[in-house]
Amino acid sequence: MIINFNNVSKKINGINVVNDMSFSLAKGHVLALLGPNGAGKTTTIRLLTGLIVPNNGDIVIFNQKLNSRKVADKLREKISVQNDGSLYENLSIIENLRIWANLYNIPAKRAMSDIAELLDVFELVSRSDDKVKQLSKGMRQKILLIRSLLPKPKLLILDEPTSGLDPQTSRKLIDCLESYIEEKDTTIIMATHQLDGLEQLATDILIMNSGRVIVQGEANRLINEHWPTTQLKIELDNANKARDYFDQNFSNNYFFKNEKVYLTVKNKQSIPRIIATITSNVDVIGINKVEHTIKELYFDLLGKGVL
Amino acid sequence: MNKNRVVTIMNKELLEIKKDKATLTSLFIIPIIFSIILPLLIIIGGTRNALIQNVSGINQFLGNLSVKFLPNNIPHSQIGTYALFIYFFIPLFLLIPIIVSTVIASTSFVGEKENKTLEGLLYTPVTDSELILGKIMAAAIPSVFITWGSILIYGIILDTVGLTIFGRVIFPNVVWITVGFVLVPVITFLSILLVIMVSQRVSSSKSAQSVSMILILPLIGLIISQASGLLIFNVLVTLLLAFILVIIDFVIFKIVVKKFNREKITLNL
Repeated sequence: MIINFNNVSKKINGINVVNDMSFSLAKGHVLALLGPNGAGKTTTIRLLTGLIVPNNGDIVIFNQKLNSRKVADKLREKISVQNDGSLYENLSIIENLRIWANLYNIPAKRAMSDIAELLDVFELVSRSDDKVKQLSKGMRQKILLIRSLLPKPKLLILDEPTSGLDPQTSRKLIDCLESYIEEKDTTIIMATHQLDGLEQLATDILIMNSGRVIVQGEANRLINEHWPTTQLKIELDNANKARDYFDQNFSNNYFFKNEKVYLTVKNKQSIPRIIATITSNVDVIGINKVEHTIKELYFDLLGKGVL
Repeated sequence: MNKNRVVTIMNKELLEIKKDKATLTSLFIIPIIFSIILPLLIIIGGTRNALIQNVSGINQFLGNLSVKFLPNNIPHSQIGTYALFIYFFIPLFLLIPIIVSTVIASTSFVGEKENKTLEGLLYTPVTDSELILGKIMAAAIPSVFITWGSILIYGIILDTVGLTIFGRVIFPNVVWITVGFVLVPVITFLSILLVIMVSQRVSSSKSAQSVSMILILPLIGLIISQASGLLIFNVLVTLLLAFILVIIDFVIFKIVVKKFNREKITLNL
């Protein structure tokens, strides 16, 4: 495991901002850190980087217990953080990035070629000499992302990475992160409110509220545990005509929505047989398995008052 | 300690100062007054002119100054002017590094808090001592060079325009050289350390400047003693003072690094 959080608590101004938090993350995994505002996500990131110290519990990163300034300083060489912190407004994009490369001791030649490559990916080459104060919010966000990717860290921590980005750039960011995971063995923690399409990148999720972990683990496992049955979406040629058939054969296990039938199947092995029966009795245009998403899980827990 | 990171922090600060025209301009106002305007006014008007008489403490200073500090190969009528240039002005030139470094250091640390750039920096591998030393260097280098430049310009004015009244070159002497090369750097260092100490507890650069100016009052008291003629900066006094300040600088640097609290800074407690 790259990260082990064991019963970590942090009190700030008398309030338990993080309360008895435990989780672990394996190498090369992507953890989506989710929760409403004030859940304790930023405090968790600050604890992970040694910026603040827990009142209780242990934090172990890269097999090293985070228990002193010296250890934190050393660990930060392997960690890079993109947060909503500001850039140096009076300096140009390239000057901002060079400073970061130097702080991570990246050799000048490599830094320049990596900066050029990332500026190209995020379409900022022509603006590289512009002062940051001349740029839009989205462009600043791109620079914050480039700044965090530049050190090619072992642990990359992203705080709202897609905030202010257009859909194309968000797509490019995901591609870029995927290549970091594959080629550089990077482990990623991503605090985000952007739940759409999260499962494309996130292998693990941690949902927290009021400083407590609500659910944590591998995304697929949590979704399967939450929805143990399979749901089939059946598109019909004539939905009204098929209603009697479903009433007689599947009684309470289905519902109609937008001219489609949603059928719940408890036993996965019976799916081929059920599909064969349905297609031989009613006119079917298409059948798909409904894939549940992290977003659905989040809001389902939210709806049940867990969050 | 990683030298590369110290230099990076220093270069970043210097680059920011270079691009901030308003701060950059403000750094040169006092040095120009002390090194160009005041000496020219005195040389042209003489020590008895109305303007100079209005400068607080000049008469007291001339009254208290011992004759042993004055040379005998300059016109008798210019003894007062000589004493003024060579002794009364030393404390003014010690105020230059204090003022310049206070402005730079306060905008450096508290400025990062105000602009919310400090947390990003604290997430990098930079250590507390690297960060503090980089910022000290960035404030110290311009302060010391501006002071040296001011002393140089002051000397050139004394030795060219002043040649008509003194009849010989009077600058530099060994006291000015010792003050410039020894006392100026250590006083600059101390002033910056005090600003950094204060910066961790305040949220605006103006507050940092005000509080650090109060902390530096004892030093200003020393300067006033010299300006009143009660304490004269000869080489021995200068070196002794510098030695004491080096020890104080070292102790305060250690305290500042030890007391540097990322958690307090991050949470702004």
